[in-house]
Amino acid sequence: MSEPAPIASSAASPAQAQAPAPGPGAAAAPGADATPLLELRGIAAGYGSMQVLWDIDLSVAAGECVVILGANGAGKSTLLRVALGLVPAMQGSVWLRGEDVSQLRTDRRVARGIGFMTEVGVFPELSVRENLLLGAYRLGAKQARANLERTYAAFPLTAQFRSRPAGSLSGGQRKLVGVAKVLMGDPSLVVMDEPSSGLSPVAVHEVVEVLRGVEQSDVSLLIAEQNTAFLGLAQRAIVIEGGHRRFEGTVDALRDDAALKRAYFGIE
Amino acid sequence: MVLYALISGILIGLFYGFAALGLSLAFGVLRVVNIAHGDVIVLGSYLAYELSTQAHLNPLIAIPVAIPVAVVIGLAFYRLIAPSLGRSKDPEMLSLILFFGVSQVIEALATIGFTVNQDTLLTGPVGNGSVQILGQTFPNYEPVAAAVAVPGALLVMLYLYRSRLGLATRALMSSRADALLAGIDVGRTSALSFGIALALAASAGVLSIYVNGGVNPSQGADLTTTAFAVVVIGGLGNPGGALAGGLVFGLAEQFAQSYEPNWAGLVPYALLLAVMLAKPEGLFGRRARYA
Repeated sequence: MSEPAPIASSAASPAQAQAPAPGPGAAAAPGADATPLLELRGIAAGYGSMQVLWDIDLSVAAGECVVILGANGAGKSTLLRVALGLVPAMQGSVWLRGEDVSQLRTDRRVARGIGFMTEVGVFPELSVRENLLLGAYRLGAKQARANLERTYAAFPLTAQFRSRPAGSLSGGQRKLVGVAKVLMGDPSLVVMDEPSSGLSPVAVHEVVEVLRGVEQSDVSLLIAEQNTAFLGLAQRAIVIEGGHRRFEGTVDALRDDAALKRAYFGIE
Repeated sequence: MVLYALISGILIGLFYGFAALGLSLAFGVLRVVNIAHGDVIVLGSYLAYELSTQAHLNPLIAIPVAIPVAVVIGLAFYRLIAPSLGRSKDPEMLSLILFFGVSQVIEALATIGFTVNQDTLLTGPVGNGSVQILGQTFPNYEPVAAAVAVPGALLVMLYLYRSRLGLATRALMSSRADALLAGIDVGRTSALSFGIALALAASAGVLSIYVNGGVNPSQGADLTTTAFAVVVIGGLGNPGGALAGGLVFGLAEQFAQSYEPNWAGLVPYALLLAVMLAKPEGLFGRRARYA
C-alpha cells in the first residue's frame, strides 16, 4: 500500500472548487431563509422490535454545520439512516426545505440535494474515477464529466489514483475519495457517518481541514461522530446517549456542560 | 488428443461461461440464486426447436426472438417478487423456495407441451458438416456455440464496464445501500439486470440444444447445477469470473472426456470442491469487504 498522498492541493481547495459551481439545490447564506434545510421531528426508530431512538428532534439550516456526538451504539448512525430513508421511522417525520419526505425513497431524497458518506465512504471494488462518477450519478453523464475535472483539480489524490480500485487505498485516502465523491453531486447538505472511523489522528486532522473548506463553500454539514475533533467545524451540536437526546445547543454551551466535558473531552 | 481436448475445452468452455453469465449477474445484483436458471435455458432450447421444426427457420433466429421476450418477462417478474423479497426477514431463503417453485412450474408446463421425451434437431445451425481447426475435426455446432457466446459475453461486458447503467449495476453489486445513497434507482436497475440475466439464459438455450444433444423438460436441474458450478469456480457475483469459470469447467470436462470418459462427469465437480477448499471466493471472486 502506498504512502498517503497530499489530500487537496493548496492551489485549488475543495471550497474553491465548490464555490463557482453550485448545484441545483445550492445552499443559501445562513439566515437567508428561516426554513431548515433538513428537519427531523420526533424521530423514534429501531430494528424489528428493538427500539434504539426515542423522540429525537434535529434541524440543520442552510450553510450550517451540526455535529451529532455520541458513543458507539448511541443511535447516531440510525438517526442518519432515518434521515436518508434507509431505516423507516417508527414515529416522527423527515423534512427537506419544508417538504415532508418521510415517504420518499432514498434515491429521491438524494436527488433533492443530500449527499451521504458512509463509514466506508466508497465502492471498494470500483476505481476512484468510477466512484466519483457515481457521486454525480443523479446529475446525468454530461454534468458528471464536468464535475470530474473540477474534482481532479481540487483533490489531486483522486487524479493520481483515478484508475486504482478505491478499496486498495489507505484508510485516509479512501475517506478523502469519499468526500470528493459526495461533493461530485453538488449537494446542498453533506451527511457523514463517522468520518474519523479507522483513521490515524493525522488523517483525522486532514479530513477536518478538507471539511473546513467544504463548509466555507456554504454546503451544510451534518456529521455523526464520537471524535470531538469535528466540533471545531460546528456551529451547533447534539449529544445522543442511549437513543435519547441528552444535549442540544452551541458548541460553546457543550464545552461548558461539566458532565459532557468529562464524558467527551476527558476534562474534569 | 491433447490438442483436440484443448480446443474442444475452450469452445465448450466459452459456451458454459455464456450459459452461466446470467446466473452470475442475477446473483451479483439481487443476491439470489436463481435455481430456475436451467429451466429458462430449456425454454430457449424449445423455442429454437419450434422455430426449426414448425416454422422451418434457422434455430439461431431464436436468439433475437428470445432476448426481448425474456427481458420483458424478467422485468415483470422482478416487479412481482421484489415487494415480497423486500418484506421478507430471510429474502435468500424465500428466493430459493420461490425459484424452486418457478423451476417446477416450467418443467411441468414443458412436459405438458413437449412430453418427457428428448427432442433433437437433426440439422446443425449451419448444416451437418464438421469443421477443421488446427488439423482436428469438430462438429460445427461447437465453433458456432463459441462464436455466439463470445460476442454475447462481450456485449454484456461492454454494458457493465462502458455504460452508465452498467456502472450503476456494478455499484449495486458492490453495495445496495450505497447504490441507493448514490441516487441510483435500485428497483429499475435490478429489474433490468434480472431481465438481461433471463435473456442470457434463453440465448444459451438456443445453443444448448446442440451442445447437450437435445432438450427435455427435466434437463433444467442439470443445467442449473453446471451453471452454478461454473459461477462458483469463477467467483460468485463476478460476471467476468463466470466466463473464466466456464473455460476451466469446459477444459476439465473435455480433458477427462478424452482420457477417462467414465470420469468426465466427476472431474469438473471435483475441481469445484478443490477450488472451494483452496480459494473459497472462487478463482476470480471478490475478496472480503474492506473495513
